[in-house]
Amino acid sequence: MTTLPGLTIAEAGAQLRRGDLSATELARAALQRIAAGRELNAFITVADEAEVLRTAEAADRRLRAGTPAGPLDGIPLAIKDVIATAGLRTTAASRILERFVPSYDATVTARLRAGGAVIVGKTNCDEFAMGSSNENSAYGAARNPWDTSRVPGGSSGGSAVAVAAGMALGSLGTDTGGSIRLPASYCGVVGMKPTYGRVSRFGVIAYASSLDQVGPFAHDVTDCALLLGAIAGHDPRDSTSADLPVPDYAAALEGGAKGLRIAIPREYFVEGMQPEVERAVRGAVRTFEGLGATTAPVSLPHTEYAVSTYYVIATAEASSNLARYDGVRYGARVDDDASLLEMYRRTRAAGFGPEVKRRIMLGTYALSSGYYDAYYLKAQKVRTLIRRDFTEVFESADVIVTPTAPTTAFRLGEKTADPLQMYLSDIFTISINLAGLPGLVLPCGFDETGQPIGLQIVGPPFGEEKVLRAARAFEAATEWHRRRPPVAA
Amino acid sequence: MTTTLDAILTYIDKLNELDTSAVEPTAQVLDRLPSWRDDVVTNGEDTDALLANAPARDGDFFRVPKIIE
Amino acid sequence: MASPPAAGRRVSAMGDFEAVIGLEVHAEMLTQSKIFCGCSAAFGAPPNHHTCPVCLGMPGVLPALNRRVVEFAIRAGLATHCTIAPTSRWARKNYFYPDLAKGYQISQYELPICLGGWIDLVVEGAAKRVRLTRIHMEEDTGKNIHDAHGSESLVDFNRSGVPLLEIVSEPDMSTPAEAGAYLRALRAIVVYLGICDGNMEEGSFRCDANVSVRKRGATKLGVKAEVKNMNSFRAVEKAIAYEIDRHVRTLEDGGTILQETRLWDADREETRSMRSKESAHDYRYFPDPDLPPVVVSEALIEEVRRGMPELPDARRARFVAALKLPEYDAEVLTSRRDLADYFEAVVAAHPNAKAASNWVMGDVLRLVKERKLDEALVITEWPVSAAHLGELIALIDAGTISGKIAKTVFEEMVAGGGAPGAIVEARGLVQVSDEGPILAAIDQVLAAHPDKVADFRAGKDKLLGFFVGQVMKATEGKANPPLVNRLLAAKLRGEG
Repeated sequence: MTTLPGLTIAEAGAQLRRGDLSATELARAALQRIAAGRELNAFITVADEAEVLRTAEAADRRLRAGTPAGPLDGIPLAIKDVIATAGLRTTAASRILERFVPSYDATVTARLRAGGAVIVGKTNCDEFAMGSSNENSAYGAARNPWDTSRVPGGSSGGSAVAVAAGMALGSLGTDTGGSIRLPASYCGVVGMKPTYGRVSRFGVIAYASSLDQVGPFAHDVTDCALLLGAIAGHDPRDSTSADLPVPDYAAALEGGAKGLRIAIPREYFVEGMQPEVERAVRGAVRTFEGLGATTAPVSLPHTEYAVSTYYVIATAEASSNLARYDGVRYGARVDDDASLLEMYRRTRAAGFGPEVKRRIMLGTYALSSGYYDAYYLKAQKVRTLIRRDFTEVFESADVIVTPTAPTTAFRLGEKTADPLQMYLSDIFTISINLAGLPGLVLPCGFDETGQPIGLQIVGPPFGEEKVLRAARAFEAATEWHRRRPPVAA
Repeated sequence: MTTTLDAILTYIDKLNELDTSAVEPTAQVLDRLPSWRDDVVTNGEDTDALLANAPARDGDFFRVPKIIE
Repeated sequence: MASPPAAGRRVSAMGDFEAVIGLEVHAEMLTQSKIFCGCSAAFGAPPNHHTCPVCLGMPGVLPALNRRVVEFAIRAGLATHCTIAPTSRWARKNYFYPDLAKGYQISQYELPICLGGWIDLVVEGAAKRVRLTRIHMEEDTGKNIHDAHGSESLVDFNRSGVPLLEIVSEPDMSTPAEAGAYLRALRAIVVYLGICDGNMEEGSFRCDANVSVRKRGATKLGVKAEVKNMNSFRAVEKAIAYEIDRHVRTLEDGGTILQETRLWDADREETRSMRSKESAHDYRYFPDPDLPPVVVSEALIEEVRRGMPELPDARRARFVAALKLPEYDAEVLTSRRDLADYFEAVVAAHPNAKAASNWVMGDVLRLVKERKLDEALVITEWPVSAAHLGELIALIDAGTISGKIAKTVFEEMVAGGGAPGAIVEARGLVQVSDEGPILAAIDQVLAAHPDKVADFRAGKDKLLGFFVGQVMKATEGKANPPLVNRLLAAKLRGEG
């Protein structure tokens, strides 16, 4: 019987096209794995079985006829529940959208469907993508498949778990301050945040409009490149999407690391980092050197201001983006024969969780009259300084290599009492969103307790090919990405 | 909630360590400009589908508690 | 109901106060689709039939700008002598209201598309320039309707996302008459430009007024009140007059004016305070991260300029310079774009501008008013077609018919008789310009009135008119009058 955990998209695709495997078998295997792994709470909504099989059967017909819709035809994929899927409930992991079923697909959803992908369900995440551990979900926390007493990372925890635990061969997440890269690191899978504007945000429930990007999770870099290629590209419905051609990411992969110029920023090796994390990352740097890359220490001097900058800009944009959840046109409503104002208050008080409320309040404050200059405007200026740091480094480097997080996955409940502590988990990922750069995370080791450690590779704007090539070279020289978590009971 | 917000705001005050008087705010993270939409009607939406998620409706209207002027 | 007091009387009743008035106009643009989505912007559909996830503010949707909105904004800016900003920005104006789908309105705040500019008016014979502060683009909101039961409101989002132009004047006006003139001039401009249909009653052209008073000669502005809910030009003039009066009386009585928003009550003809949370509102404006800045190149401005319909001022000037019309004629003919278009079509049919002007300003306009055709926003049916009127004038100029006969033909055209040439032939109205028959008629007439002939020759020159009349009668009015005059005069003087 097919074991999904053993397969990559590339391998499954080859088997499907050879006829050694059918899309229907794959779909059934995925649904079985999801059912068997419920304690991981990776999914908020599992797609209807009949619907899933119908999509798989359509893929099988195309495959038998020798006319697959593309490399993703028949491949079971999962989608983070902040991304709209027509006809399939989309909750943003919030009570306020508990019964919301969109009549429209996000552009990325439509592109996957057009490629024949079989969508098996909507994955768990932090509510409205606000969080670093997937503990802020109104549908319960998701759990790390390597150790279910630990967090999978957030906000796209469910999407990372689904891939790590073999419930889907790939998945989509979103990344605003590290929400793809951190779970990828904690769950030992590959996760990528593309350059801002590379992938359409239409249909993606907005958290911070100038920071959000959709990106893939996969078992390896080749799969990651496949998924990226399927979703990337200009969308006239998203005015922030770049009108630039999409390169063939798969074709760029095997270039190797010889001559690659790697920058290592000193600010990303801080006191208080878990020693094994630092060791694994430095080990990865040596691996690159062994492959013919050159490395140089650099400075990104404004790194220490990134978290503050982020929490002003992101919360400000979020406070405005979440104003639409008012119980008028969709979503939950609490009114009890109240006045309009009471209806608004009660609906939002009941519908939003504490972290969401916290960020809305912070953001509203940052934009309010008398404080706008001191907070929002100030943060946007510091953002310019942070971007300049990177522009300067990329003048003489191809990629930047860093750890993804100061530690491996922490335990559930460990950081929930102190939101500020939680925010600091994003310290190595956040600057990359502020600068709009592409960043990929892949496994580079495990700690003593068997928890994965992720390496982050950052590129210049629209430098996805460089990042993928570097990642692929590292992966080809190591075995970390082949390890799978123990199968959930 | 207030104590955590206070702590966060105190942390955010770090930004004041920097002199940004000569710095422009980041308006947009994009270098290129998109083209604009042509003025054509492309709406083919189904009103029922759009009202399907409405918490309260009255015919084709959305219904809300009265707005007191 | 009393009409608003004329500016002159108001001034003297104001003692030593003067009024300071600024107007804010919201004009709905005549685009096919909405500003940020492809829904139809047309008025009148059943509720929520012109909506989509974008203008309903559904989760994950994003705005995509309609280029025509930018073109129309540039047109408005060019027509009012504004500076067109090479870069302008979208801003979010945040507040909660059921007709505001996203919980924020996309508008322009710190960097609007047009700045400065002015409109020149003539008010009660005097020239007046009203400066503009700015013009910017924004989206309209949906509509709340209070339902019959009274405990709930109904919301229709058809209007949500319809593009608006907001035109803000400097507080340069000081009387209701000036405000009325400004509004009429602005409306004429947007209608001429084809960017708005200017319908105040239907809400596609809305006006809010900011009114304050101060002691004459003072430089500091008084506390201003904002007045809303005026649905016609007359209402605006009346409301402003009321407000000025209220301010003056309050201050003269030693009271103070509150800075507030007031609504005009058309039935009671008074303004009333709105107990509104909006007066203390903090909209938390910030640049919209979903939309890049609006970059307007010189090339785009030129393209818009070339495609612009001719403005009233320019048209008036052209009628005077190129068509050699008197100022008065030019002014009347360009007071409405449809009238000017009609007039030019007549001239295109036959190039006698003065004659065309006389006919259009005289007979045609009289009928238009009688039949109330000018109550339509755009006159589509004229008493006679421009082509036919041109043909009629051509017939006169060719000497085929006299001016007098032309009037008869005109009446018949109006009654539905078709083309003038056909009418003239069918009724045998062709002017007689052959000397033979005219001389014959003259002989006949002179022979019939020998005593009058003698009187004329004795010095009663006025009798010429009598003889002309008789000859015209004898020829059934068809004789060419100047020819009759010449031949008769010759005969009577004994030269023929």
